[in-house]
Amino acid sequence: MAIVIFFVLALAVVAAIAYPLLPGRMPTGIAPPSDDEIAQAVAELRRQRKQGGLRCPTCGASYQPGDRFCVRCGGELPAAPEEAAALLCPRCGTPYHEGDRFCVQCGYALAKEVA
Amino acid sequence: MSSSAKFLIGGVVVAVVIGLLIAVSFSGSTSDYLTIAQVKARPADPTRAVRVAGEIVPESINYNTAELHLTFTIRDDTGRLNISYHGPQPDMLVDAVEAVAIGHYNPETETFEADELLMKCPSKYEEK
Amino acid sequence: MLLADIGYGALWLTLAAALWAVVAAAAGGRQRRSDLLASAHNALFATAGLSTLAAVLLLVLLFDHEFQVRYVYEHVSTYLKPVYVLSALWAGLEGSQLLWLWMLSIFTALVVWRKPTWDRELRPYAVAFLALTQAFFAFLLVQLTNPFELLPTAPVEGVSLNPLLQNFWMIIHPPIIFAAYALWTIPAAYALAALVTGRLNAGWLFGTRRWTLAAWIALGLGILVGAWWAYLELGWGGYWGWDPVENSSLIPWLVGTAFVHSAIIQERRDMFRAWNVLLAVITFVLTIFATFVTRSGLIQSVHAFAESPIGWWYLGYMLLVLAVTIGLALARKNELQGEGQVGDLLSREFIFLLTNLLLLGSAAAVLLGTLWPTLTGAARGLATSLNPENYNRFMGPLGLLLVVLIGICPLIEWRRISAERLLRGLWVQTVVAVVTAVLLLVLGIHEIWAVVSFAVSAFVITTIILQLAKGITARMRSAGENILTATVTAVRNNRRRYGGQIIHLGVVLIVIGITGSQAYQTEVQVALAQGESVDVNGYTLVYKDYTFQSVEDEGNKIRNQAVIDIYRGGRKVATVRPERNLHSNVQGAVTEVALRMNLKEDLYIILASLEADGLAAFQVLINPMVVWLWIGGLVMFIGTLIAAWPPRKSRAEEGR
Repeated sequence: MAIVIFFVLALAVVAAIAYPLLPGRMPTGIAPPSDDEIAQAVAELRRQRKQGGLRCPTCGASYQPGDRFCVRCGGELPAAPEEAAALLCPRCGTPYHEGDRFCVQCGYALAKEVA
Repeated sequence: MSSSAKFLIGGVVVAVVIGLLIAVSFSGSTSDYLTIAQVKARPADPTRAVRVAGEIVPESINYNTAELHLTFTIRDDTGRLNISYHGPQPDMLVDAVEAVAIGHYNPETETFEADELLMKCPSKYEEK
Repeated sequence: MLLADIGYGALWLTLAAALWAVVAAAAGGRQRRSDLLASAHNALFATAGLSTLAAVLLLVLLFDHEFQVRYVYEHVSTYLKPVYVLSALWAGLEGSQLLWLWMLSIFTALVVWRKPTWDRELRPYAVAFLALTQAFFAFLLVQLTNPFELLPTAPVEGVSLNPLLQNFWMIIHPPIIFAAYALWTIPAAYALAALVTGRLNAGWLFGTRRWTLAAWIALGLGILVGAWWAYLELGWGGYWGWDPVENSSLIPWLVGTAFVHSAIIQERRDMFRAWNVLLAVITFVLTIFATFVTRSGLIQSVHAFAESPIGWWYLGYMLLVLAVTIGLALARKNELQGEGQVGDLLSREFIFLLTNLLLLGSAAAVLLGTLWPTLTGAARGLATSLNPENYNRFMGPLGLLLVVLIGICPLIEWRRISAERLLRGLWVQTVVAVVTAVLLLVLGIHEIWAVVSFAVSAFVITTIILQLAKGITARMRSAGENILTATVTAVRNNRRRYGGQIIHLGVVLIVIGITGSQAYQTEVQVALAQGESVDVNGYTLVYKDYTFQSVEDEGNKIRNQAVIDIYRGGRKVATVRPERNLHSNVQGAVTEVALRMNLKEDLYIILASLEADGLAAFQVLINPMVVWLWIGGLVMFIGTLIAAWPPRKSRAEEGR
């Protein structure tokens, strides 16, 4: 009896493993980002660009997200709206600088509009 | 000097200081694991406690409630040793169990005065 | 024995499916074939299902008292309370291995289930490593530590669970620890994937952050729960003995803490890339080391588990993972060079480097101390053991330095800060610290390190309060909100920062608890006849009554109990009943201490002996401030929840 149950389980496992390998079940490449994902990432970039980047309100020096005081003038900085406003390529995750049009790591086009 | 050199040297200095602190902490007040014969043979050193392990001799456990004084005898291949301890009896203290005593040997009374007792009971968390 | 056979079969299938997942995931990643990846993912859903089945079957066998299964015989009995029958699942080696595998398989299934985004390139290799670890555990289960092994005949009654384990905390502590160990596999898996693919920027950190936080807090709380259990159950008035088993869960936690902090540097400044991959893998390797320590018999411990060859397999896996990681890291030397430039010595980057060094240093020291008897024994023939004083001598200063860093780090900026700006930011808390120290000396506390420790703690708590206040008042001014709304929105907008502050607050509370309880324990040993009383530190303890009771419901048990009334300031505050019991299934007596806790101190009473005529010996301990350890742990937990709570929008930013 145990043997029967074991074979049933084994069969189920093999079926689960083999199913995606059946011809025509799955596309064989690793999919690039979908159009939705690209649109979402671009909308995010637009939003960040609207904020004009991170600049100290007192002296205009740029600062890092999460900083509380400007390194140049010591003035207080506004509370960050969301943590990790760091700019990351949506495809490969490499940080990039504001104003870049292509990711240096994977070549992904970072802005779909003229900045 | 460049910043990265300062950084590296700063890091190395800190690491060395930490290493020294650890080395100093490891010296002195450690306790050696000794056999019963070694315990009796070693000259008395009140500054350094030693550890000795042995099987508790059956029928040797004695507890004086009024004085919270525990005495028992342990044995190993090298001999027997009387243990004296002041305090509550440790859990699992029974015949034929292995005990570790940490303390000092008093050659005049031929008794090991234990500051700490540990019962090494293999069945403590698992039955063999 | 049908269920046992099915369970064993399920473990074999788990091994097979996990091995397939390793191959399919690695090949699928390499050849960029999503059909192979999907197959691997299905295999890992299968392992989750199969290991769940095995665990459920073992539970059924335990509850059904099927004593022909050796594990069931060894850990339960017909009279064991159901809640402890549940805990028997992880009480023994075989069961705890199964629990670990089960948890790892569930977490792996969760990792696999989510749609890949930021980790599209990394996931195949991370999954392959998770599957490899599952295969390793499954292999050990089927070959060495089979929970479903059968005895030749079925005994009538089981040995039952050791009374020391029949305790609420047995239900909590091991599952949390094993969950933590399983969780630490995930950052290591992604670190290895990053090394394999060469994608060593902060991407792998962003995405594993929540897993890392979960692993960190689970391990931290697991250690605290273990300490609480030792305090309550073992009856020696202490919560930490620097025992090898205790140490082996502390060491990965220290390294994991270094990793959590070091990751921030890479996210912000793209430095410490090599540190991070190594720290992530080493933390995982140390969780494996913990089992090696407790099971190989190499190291003497009061938690003397039965020896098993399994320890050496663990050592082998550890060395394999370490060797592969170091090899890959050497091969990827170029990609491990971050973009960030180091700043000044007086910079946040250097503080984080210090943090890494202090935490790693203490981890290495505890590790060395744990191995010291083995090393000295092998080298000189004479084994030497460290005593708690040795550990305290390095952990004390290292811990205090870390706490000081918590206090000054928020004031130190990235790249550099001038010394005078730093001092200007610190003067308030320095004054508070000095005042605290003076107050303590005036109040009669002369232990110099205790005074320093409390003063430093006051310094850090002031820093944290000031930081919180600054953020909240800035919000109130700029957004015109009242204090409550400002607090909520400030925290909500910057969960990581405020969560981190609260976690640090919890850490400082724990330091306060440790300092108080180490500096000032009062101990009294006294023998009392019935009716007599004793005064200890303002408490009057009156020994009212005693009983010898035979208790049938938990097997045969003789309960020897003393009844004590506690008076303070002339008023009766409580009645407690310390016990010293005898059990039929275990040799020797088991003490149940009487414990009364308040914020200032614990009153801890051990019944050392109870004679037939009622003469009783007691050891009474006053342990100051112990409760702050547990409060600190709770605060750490809350802080972690805040730090890890997902934001409501903008997932692309977080790099989910």
